[in-house]
Amino acid sequence: MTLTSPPDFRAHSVPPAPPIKRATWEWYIPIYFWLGGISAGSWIAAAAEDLTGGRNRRLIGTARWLSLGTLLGGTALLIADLGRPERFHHMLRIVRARSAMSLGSWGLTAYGGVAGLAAMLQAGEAGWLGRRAALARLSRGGAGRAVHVAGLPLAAFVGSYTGVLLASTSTPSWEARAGWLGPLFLSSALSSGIAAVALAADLGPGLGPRARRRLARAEAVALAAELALLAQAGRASRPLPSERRARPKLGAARALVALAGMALPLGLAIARGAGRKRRGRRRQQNHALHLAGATLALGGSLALRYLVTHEGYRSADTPEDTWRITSGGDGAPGRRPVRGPQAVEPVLADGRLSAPA
Amino acid sequence: MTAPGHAGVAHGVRAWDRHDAGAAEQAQQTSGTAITPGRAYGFFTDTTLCIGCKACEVACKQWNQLPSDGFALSGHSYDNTRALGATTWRHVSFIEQFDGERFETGAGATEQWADPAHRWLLLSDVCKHCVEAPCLEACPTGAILRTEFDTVYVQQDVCNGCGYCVPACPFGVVEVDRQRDGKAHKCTLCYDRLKGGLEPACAKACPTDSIQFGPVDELRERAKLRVMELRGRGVPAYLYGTPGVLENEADTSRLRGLNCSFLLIDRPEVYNLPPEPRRPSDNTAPGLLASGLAAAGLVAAALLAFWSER
Amino acid sequence: MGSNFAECHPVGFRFVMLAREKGAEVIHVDPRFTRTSACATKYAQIRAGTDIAFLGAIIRHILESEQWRTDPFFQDYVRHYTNAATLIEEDFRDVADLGGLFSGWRQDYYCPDTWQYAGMQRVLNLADRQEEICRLKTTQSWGMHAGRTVGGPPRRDESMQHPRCVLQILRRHFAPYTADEAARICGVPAERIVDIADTLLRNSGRDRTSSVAYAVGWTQHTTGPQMIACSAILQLLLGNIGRPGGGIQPLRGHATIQGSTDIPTLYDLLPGYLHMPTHLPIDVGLDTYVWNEGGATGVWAHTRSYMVSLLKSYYGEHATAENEFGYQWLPRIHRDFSHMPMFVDMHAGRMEGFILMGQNPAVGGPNARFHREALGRLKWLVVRDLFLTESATFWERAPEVQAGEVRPEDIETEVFVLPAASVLEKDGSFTNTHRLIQWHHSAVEPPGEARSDAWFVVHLGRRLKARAAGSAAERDAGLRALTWDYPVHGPLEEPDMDYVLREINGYRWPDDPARREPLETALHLADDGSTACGCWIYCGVHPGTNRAASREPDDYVSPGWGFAWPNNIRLLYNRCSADPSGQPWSPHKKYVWWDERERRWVGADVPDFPPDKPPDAPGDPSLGGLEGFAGDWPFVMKPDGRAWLFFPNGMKDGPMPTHYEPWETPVENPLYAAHGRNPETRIWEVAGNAYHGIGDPRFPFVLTTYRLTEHHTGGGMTRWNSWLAELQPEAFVELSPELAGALKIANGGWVTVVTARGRAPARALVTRRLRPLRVMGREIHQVGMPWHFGYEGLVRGSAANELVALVGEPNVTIHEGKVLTCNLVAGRDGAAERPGAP
Repeated sequence: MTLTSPPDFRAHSVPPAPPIKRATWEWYIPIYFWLGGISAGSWIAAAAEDLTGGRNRRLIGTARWLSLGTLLGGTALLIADLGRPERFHHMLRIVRARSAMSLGSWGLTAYGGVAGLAAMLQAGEAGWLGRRAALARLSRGGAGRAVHVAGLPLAAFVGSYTGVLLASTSTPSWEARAGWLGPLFLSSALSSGIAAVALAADLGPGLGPRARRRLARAEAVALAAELALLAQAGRASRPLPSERRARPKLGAARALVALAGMALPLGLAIARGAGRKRRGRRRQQNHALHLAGATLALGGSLALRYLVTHEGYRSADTPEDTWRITSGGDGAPGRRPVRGPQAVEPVLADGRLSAPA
Repeated sequence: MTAPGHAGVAHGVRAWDRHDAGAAEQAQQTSGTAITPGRAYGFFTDTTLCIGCKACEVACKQWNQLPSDGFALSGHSYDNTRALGATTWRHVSFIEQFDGERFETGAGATEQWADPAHRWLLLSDVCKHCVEAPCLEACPTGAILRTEFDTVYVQQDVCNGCGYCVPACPFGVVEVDRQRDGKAHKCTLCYDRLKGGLEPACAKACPTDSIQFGPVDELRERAKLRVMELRGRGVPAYLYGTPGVLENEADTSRLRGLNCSFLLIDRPEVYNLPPEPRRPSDNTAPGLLASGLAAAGLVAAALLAFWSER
Repeated sequence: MGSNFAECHPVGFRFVMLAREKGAEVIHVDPRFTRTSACATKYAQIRAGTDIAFLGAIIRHILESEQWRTDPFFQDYVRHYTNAATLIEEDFRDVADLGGLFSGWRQDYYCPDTWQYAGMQRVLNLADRQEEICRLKTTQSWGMHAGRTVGGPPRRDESMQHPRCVLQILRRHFAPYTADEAARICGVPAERIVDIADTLLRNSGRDRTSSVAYAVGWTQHTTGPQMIACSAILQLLLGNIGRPGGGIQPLRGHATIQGSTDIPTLYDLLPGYLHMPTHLPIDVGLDTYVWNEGGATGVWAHTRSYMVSLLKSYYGEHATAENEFGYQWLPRIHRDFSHMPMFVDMHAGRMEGFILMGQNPAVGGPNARFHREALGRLKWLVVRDLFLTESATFWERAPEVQAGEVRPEDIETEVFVLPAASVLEKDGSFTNTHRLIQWHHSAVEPPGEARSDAWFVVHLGRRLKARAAGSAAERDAGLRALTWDYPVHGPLEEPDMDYVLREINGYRWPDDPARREPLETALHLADDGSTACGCWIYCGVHPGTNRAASREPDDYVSPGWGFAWPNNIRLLYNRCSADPSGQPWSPHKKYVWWDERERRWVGADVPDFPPDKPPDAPGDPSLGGLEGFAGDWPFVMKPDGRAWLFFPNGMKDGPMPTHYEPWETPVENPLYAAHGRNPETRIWEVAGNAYHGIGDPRFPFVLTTYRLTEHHTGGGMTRWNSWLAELQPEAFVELSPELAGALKIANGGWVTVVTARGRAPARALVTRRLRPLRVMGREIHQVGMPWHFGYEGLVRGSAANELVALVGEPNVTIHEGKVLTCNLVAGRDGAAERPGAP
C-alpha cells in the first residue's frame, strides 16, 4: 500500500482552505516599509554628506528632517495597524532576538532617538532654538558627525529589518528568498532615501550641481544594487506555483518595477552623475531629469514593497507553495535530505519496526 | 522566555492545591492522568479513529464561549468552518478520496477505511503547541508564552494585535480577530481547565478517543505502539510531530516536535499539513547578517559616491 | 444496515470503533458513503429500499454453505432455539406460488390461518369475528398475542428435513435470492455480497458473534418491520441472538424513543406493551381482553396481573374487582389513529384542537405542506417547544405563504406557544436502545416561563379533574376516578419525578402514600388488586432506591449502572448463551450457564429464564406460564419458547420477509411483477398527496432522506444554536458528479428537487461518495437530502419532507421516508439560474 500522490486542489471545485494564513496587515503597511526605508536612506545620505566632507548644509538639513518625518509617519501607520493601538507600548515589554518584530520595535525606538537628536541639532542650526552660534556649531561639527555615525547602523537596520521580518514568516514567497529580502529592502531604502532628499532639497533654491551629482552617483550605486538584488532574489528559488500561475501578469509587474522604478532612474542617475560641466538649457534639462529620476526611484521603491507584499499574500493563499517550501527540493540552502513519510513501508525490511535510539 | 511564565507557575501551583479532591479524582478518571504543573501536556490525535462528528469543535466553542464563524455552506464536503482561526480552535477536515466509477472492489484485503481508492479521511486539527513555537518566537510583546503545562498561550491582557504571529505560524492556526477585539486567538489547550485538573474540552468530548490528552512523553509512547500496530495490519501509518520516536515519520525536527501530534495514513499535504514545517525565526539571524553585510557595502559605496564629487 | 451509526449515534459508535481496533469487521451497507462507511472495514452501496433482497442473498448463501450445514453449533442452535424444526400448515403457500402473495390474501388484508403451525389454530374467544379484527388496520389486529393458538404441541421434525418444516420452507423461500439476482436488484456487485456473507459466517459461531445495528434507515419503509425480521432470521441462523456480542440493535432516533414505546406516547398501546382495548367484542370486558391478549405459556401468561396492576395505579381505590378494576373507563379505539391517519383527519377538518409537545410536523412530517394545511384547519393548536418552531409560525412563514399561495388571514387556527424546559432543566429518565433506564437530574432552573412537559401534563390534569369533579357525565367518570396526586415542589411547582418513577415501579395495595411499599420485581405483581404498577416491565427500577440513578460501572456488564428492564437483565434471551445442555458454547463466549452444583443458572447477567429450571427439564405447556417451558426453550416471550424464523402470528404482511420494491421505485420487481410492492401498503389517496407510479418517467431518480451529526431531527433543537448551525448551515442535496454533469448542476449551486408533493430548492453538494448504480441493467442515480431544515431558526433551507408522501407500512403505519423517487432541476425553484458561489 502506498500513500497517494499530493492532491491537485484545482480538481476540486471548492479547494480546501490554505494551510497557512497570510499576514492581515492593512493596505498601508507597505507604505510604512517604504517610509521607513526613506527615513533610513536619507539618514545615510545625511551621514555620507557630513562624513565625506561635502557639507552641503541644505542637503544635510533636508535629510535630517526627512528621516525624522518619514519615521514618525511610518510609526504612526504601524500603530494604526495594531489590533489594539492603545497597547503599542507593549512592544517594549520584552526583547526577543528571534522576533524580527521585537528587534524592529527596539531598533525603531533607538533610531527614533538619534533621529530626534539630529533633528534637534538641525533645529538649533536653523536657529529655531534661539540664535545661538554654539548650537549651530554643535550641529555642524563633531557632535553632528558623531550622531550621524551612531545612527548609521540603526538606519541600516531600520532600512533592512522589514525585509528580514517578512522573511521570518511561513509565507512561502518570502521564505523562499529569505536571505535576500533584507539587503533588497536596504538597497531600496537607500535609493528611495537619496531620491527623497534630492527631490525635497531641490524644491526651493537649488542644491548646486556638485551636491546633485553626489546624490546622483550615490543613487546610481543604490539603484544598481537594488536591481542586482532583485534579480538575485528572483533567482533564489525556482518559481513557486503561485508565481508560475500568475505569469505573465506577475512577470509584467516585476519587469515594470525593474525597468521604470530601477533601470530608468539608474540611467538618469548615471547621466546626471557623470557630467561635470553643464550650462544653460542643459542645466535646466538636467534639473528636470534629476527630479524625474528621483520621482521614478521613489515610486519604484514603493512599488517594490507592494510587489513583494502582494506576492507573499498570493503565495500564502496557494497551498502548493507551502507544499513546495516545506517538502524540500527547492534548493534552499541548509536543507537536510528529505526523510519524509513518502518512504513509509508497512513493516521494515527486517520485519520489525525499530525506533531510533 | 519571559517573566510571566514564572508568575503562571506560581499561580498554577496554588490553584492545584486549592481545588477540591473530588474534581481531581473525576479529572483523573476522565483524562486518565493527573495534571501537574511542570509537565508537558498535549494531544495525540489519531486520525484513524476520527468519525468526523465535530463534537470537539462544538465542545471547544462551548467551553471557550467562541462565536460562530457565520453561516455559509462551503460546498467542500461536510466542512463548513473551513479552517482554524480566531473563533475556531478545533477544526475537523474532511478529505474525500474516491477513484474509479463505482465501489467495485470486491473481497479486498484492505480495510475499507484505509483503502486509498475509496475513503473519507477525517482529521481534527488543532494548534500544535510546537516545542519551538514560531508564534511565540514572533510575538514582540511577550503576550504569547509557555505555560507551566508547556503549552503555548496568548495572554489576552498583553496582546496588542500586531498580528506578526499570524504569518509566523507554519500551520495557519493563530489569527487576529480584527472584527471583534483586535487580538490574537488560538487554542489554549484549555488552560483554565488544566488549572482545575480537567482535561481539555475537545478531548473530553471525543467519543472515539481520536483525540487523546495526556503528558507528551506518555502520548508519544502510545503513539509509537499505535503506529506499529497499524503497520502490522498493513496500514501505512506514521506520526506527525514526534521527531525521533520512529523511523519514517514526518520531519518536524525544525520545531523540535509538536506537543500536539497526529497519526496520519496519507501524505501530510493531503491533510493540509506542511510536510516538513519550518521554523521561520531561523531566517532572522541570517537575514540580519546578510543585511549587515549589505549595509556595510552600500554605506561604503554611498560614502565613496559622495566622496568622489566633494 | 439502515443506520448511519457514526453520524447519528456517535457516542455509541465509540464501542464499534473499539471493536474494530480489536479486530472486528465493521460492515456498512447504505445508499450513501457516510461517515459510518468512512470508518467501516467493508462497505457496499445499495439501492435504497432493497435491503431484504440483500439480506435474502446473504441468508441463502449461508443456508447453502458447507460450513453452515456441517457446523454442529449452527445446527444445534437453530434446532433447539428456533422453530426451524416445527412443521407448518399444509395449506401454506409461498410468494413464488402466488405471484408475490402469501396464502390467506383477502383482497386488501391477510388472514393468517394457513401460516399456523401444523395442527394448531389461532382462535379468538369470539371466533366468528376473526375477519373483523383482520380488517382493523391497527397493531391490534395482528398482535402476536391477539387471540390464542390452540391445539398444540406443535409437530416437529428434529432432523429439519421435512418439506413442511420451517427450515425447508425458508430454504425454498430464499432460493431465488442468488447473489447475482440480488446484485441486479440492489446494485451491489455480487462478489461484494458474497464477501459480506462469508465475513458474517466467519465471524459467527461457537467462539465469535456478530451484531446487526439498524435505525430508521430500516424502519421508514413500506417493508420496514420485515427488513428487521429478515435480520432476525439471519442472526438466528448464525446463532447470534442471546449471546454476548450478538443481537440486533435498534438505534433510536431520540434519547428515549425506547422509553416512549415502553410507556407509550402511542394511541394503540398501554404501558408495558399491553394493547389498548378496541370497540370489538373481544375487548368487551377485562376477562375477554386478558384471554385474547395473554397466551397460555411464556411471560404473557400473567397478562391479567399486569393489566390489573396498571388499572390499580390509574384508579387507586376506585379500581375494584367489582368494576373490573375500572377497565370500562379505558377509551376504546376503532381504527388507526397513528400520525398519518390523524393528519389526514385533521386535513379533512375532522379535528378541533391539537397539542404538540416537542414535535414539529410543519417540517418534520412526511409531506410537510399537507401537514401545514392540516394544522391550518384546526381551531386551536398548542405548541410546546424550546424555540418558536415552524409549527408555531406556519401560518405566516411557510413557503406557500411566502409565495403568496396562501394568505395568513385565511388560516383561522389559534396558536398558543408555551415555552418548554430542556432536558438539562428537568429531572427524569431516558430509556435507551438496550432498555437501560438512566436518570438525569436537572442542572438549572428553566428560564422565564419555560416549564417541563411533566409540569404541563400534571397541571393540565389537575385542571381537567377540577372541571370533571362537578360533572355527572358518564364520559367523565374515568377522569373523576383517576388518581392524580402527584406532589409538586419548588417555586415553579414542578412535579416530583421520583414519585412518578415510584408509581411506575409499582407498590403494594392498600397504599399509604407517605410510606409506600415498593415492589421488587414483576413476579410480585398480583391479579387481585393487591398491587399497583404503572408499567409492569419497569417493575424493580425503584425498589426503595432509584436504581435508574445508580452509577457503578465495571469492566463488563455493569449491572450497577442504571436499570435495564425487565428485572435488570442486560441481554435478553441469555439462556441462548449456553448450549442446550446448559454449558457455555465456548469459554470465550461464556455468559449465563447452568451450575449443576448450585442447581441454578448463574453468570455475568441476571438469567432471562426461570432461575432454577434445569436444562433437561421437559416441556409441558399445560402447566402454563414459564412453568410449562422446557429447559432449552430460551425465548420466554414466545408461547412455544423458541425464536421464530417463520412467523405464524405478529406480522400482517406475511410470515416471512420477501423483497417488495418501495412504494415509489424506478424499476419493476423482477421477482414477481404482479405484486411488486407490498400489497398491504397503507396509502391515502387524498388531495395534495399524489404518488408516483413504478418507473415514473417524470421522476427518474431515487431520493433518500437522512440526518447529519450536526443537527437533530427537524432541527427544532439545533438550528437555533449557532455552534451547531454553523457546522451545517444550509439545506443541500448530495449527488454524484455523473448526475451533476448530466444535469449541468454545479457544486454549491442551486438545485431544486421535485416530487408530486412539492419542490425543495437547496444547494448541490456534488460528491463521489454517491455513485450511479447498475440496477436491472440500467443506470440508477440516487440522491440524498438531509431533512433538518425549515423556514425558522438561525439557518434555514428547504425541508426534505416537502417531497415525501404519506404512505404507510401495514404493521405500524410508519411512513416511507427513506426512499422515494424524484426529479432534479438545476437552479432555484426550477427556474434556470446561474449557480451562485457558495
